Amino acid sequence: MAGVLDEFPGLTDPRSGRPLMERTVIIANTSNMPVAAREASIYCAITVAEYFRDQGLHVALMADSTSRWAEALREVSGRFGELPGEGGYPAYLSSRLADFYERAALVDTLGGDTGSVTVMGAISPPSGDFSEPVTSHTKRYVKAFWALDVKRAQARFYPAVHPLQSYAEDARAFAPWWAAQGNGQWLALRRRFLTLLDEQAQLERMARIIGKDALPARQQLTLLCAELVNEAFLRQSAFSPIDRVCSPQRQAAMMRLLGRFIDLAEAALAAGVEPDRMAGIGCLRELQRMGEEIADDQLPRLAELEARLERDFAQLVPAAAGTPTPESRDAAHG
Amino acid sequence: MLLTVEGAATRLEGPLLFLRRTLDVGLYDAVEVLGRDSVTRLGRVAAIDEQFMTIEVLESTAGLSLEGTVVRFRGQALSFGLGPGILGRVFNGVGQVIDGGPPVAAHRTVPIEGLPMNPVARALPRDFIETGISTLDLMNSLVRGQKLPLFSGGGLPHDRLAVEIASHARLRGGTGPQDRLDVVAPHGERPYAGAPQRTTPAEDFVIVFAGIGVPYDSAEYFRRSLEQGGALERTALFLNLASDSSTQRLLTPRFALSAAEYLAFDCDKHVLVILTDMTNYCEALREVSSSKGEIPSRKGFPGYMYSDLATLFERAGCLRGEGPGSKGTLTQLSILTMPADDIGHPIPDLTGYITEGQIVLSRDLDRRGIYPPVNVLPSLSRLMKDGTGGQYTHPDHPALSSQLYAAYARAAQARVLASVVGVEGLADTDRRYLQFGTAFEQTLASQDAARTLEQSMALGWRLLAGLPKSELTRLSDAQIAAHIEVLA
Repeated sequence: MAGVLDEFPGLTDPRSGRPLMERTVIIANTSNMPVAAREASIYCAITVAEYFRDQGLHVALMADSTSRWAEALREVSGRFGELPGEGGYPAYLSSRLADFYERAALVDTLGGDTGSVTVMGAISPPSGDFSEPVTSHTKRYVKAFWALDVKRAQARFYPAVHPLQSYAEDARAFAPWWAAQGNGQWLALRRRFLTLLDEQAQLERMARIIGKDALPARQQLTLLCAELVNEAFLRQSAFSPIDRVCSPQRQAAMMRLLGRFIDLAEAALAAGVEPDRMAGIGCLRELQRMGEEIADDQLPRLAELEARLERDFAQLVPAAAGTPTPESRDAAHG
Repeated sequence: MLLTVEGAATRLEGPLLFLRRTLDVGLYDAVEVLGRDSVTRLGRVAAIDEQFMTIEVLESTAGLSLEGTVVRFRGQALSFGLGPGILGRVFNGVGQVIDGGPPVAAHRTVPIEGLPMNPVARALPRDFIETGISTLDLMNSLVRGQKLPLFSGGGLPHDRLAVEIASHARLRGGTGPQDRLDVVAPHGERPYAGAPQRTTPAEDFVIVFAGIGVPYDSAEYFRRSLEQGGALERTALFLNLASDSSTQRLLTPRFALSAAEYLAFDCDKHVLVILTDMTNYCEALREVSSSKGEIPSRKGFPGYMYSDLATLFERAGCLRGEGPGSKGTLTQLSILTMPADDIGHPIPDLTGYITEGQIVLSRDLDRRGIYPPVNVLPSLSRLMKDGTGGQYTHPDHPALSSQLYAAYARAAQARVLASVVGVEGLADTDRRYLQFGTAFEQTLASQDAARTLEQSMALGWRLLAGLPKSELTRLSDAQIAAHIEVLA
């Protein structure tokens, strides 16, 4: 809590240049405060949100964490002597969660404006078990779910959002928005990346049995491309001021660049280039680190990177037609 | 106000004494219970209803009777008389001196429950505490004012680790957490000019060590090793033995934290509180709760265990501003043993909700003779970003940590792979990772003596030098040139 209270007053709103605190309300209830207040805190917060919603404003509500809120519910219920349900939580846990999440809405206000409340609830399930009551009941009422993955978190892969376990039911509806940001192929690229990542998950299981080297070239290429999507696009560095946030325009450009890499790599594979040599191209490291190196206002550098990518592949493909020359082999492995 | 009640006792059950309610008392008021053996026992009011008062007796209730028991009500909560003289002394679980010396001169008497800090008055914990353990300093840094638990298991060397941290922990440069508040430059922007100057005098750093429900030999081990290492002078040691009553166990961390708060916020010290073992505390909570007849929640632990633990862990922190108490910090390192090594058990689970990360010890590493057996992968210090980097340690410290994590996680994958297809079946890169993983455990994680952060960092760079440059995606070219290519 101290982190939020310490950081927020110092933040400036990138759109207005004014302190972000001017349009923020923080409801703080630390865990050593009375338990009944903890149960009340999310109702208090969402009531504040609705107050602004009714003025025709768009409100984002972050509740961290609803598991601790449920913990409070359980404690109070125990004090009342109610019969415990699943996991010791009271049986009405799911209807209380529904009451809360259903208060997220887009409304026409009496004043004729449009206002909205968007709810982002954090859940912290014990030992990452998504089948526990708070997670499973919450998933019944929400349309988007960001699952943080233990393996990614352990490798300090930030943000540890698991691309396959997470979902957004409304994803299709965003395609026009992304097109307006300059990424008309967003839906296609998204599907392509997800397919790659899904194939990677299955191939890694296979590779565990027969070894990575024994996989056919096409599958090795899938692993290479999926790894690149992870490293270059999904991973951001929280320590880096450049990479901490990524503008939609930059996301779009990076996405297109990676899509281009996949296209070129597949064409090269068809021309007989081994995936190992593609992994050795000079600009691969730059691709992997582009999020950290190229800032939001340096988008032309991404275009330069794309040009280099095209050149690197152009060198690979004709070389593959004959026997690899010693220079090209050095280039591939150096 | 001192009121005495005699002959009102109706029932005695373990540590609980039930009295008819003949006078109006407050919840958690302190009492003295006098048996027919004329021994005075400390206790407190645990529950009141229309007819009865329940007293938790904090010492053995053996020999107490219903007729001859006299209860004296103090009319105020349990409190602890504190003065600067508590350093270098040994107390039992209820704040009585047990080292044979004279009582401590009390400058201030505080209620042991403490008062919650206003969240807005808290300062964000910043700045680094060097523990001397590489896997902690380098990859899971402890920050002043942080609450970080150590998840261990039965038979793992957490006692030794606790003592070594207490003996070797020290502050590095910087003066206090509040001076940092006006610094808005992002981490790593200030050029690094050699090792930071130690401007914080060593005597400003003190330890409060609480052994909760520990066996006699562990208690003796704590006392002796702190004495021999010379750390006892800057330590207030609280020892609650396994044979002491379980109600007393519930108060031990509260006495210890009251002492720590006094040292931090009245004496302007930087205090490191080591609480071991919190599992014993939670077991005592369960025992006392069920003897009060409360409805049990998960695994028989009371439903309020989360709130109860929070009243302890939330007593870590530091205050903002320039006012009184803003110079000191209170850092908590609480150790708990996970029953059956289960990290989803209510004790580690609820602890993890409140604390800012966790350090996990691994039985597997311990079996392979690696000390300290810290498994870095599930370990995490959430505040690390606030206490490392250019202003506090080294500008490249966060990137180094991140790269070590990525490489070690990859090594763990390679190990799984190798266990199926054999080392021969691995690709060359995976074999290099395999070697990295072993070297990481043998040279960086394993250590015989405390290391400075500079030593730990040098080890880290040397390990990374064993990997191909193309794999070091979390380091910039400049970092690779400055730290890794110079080694070749």
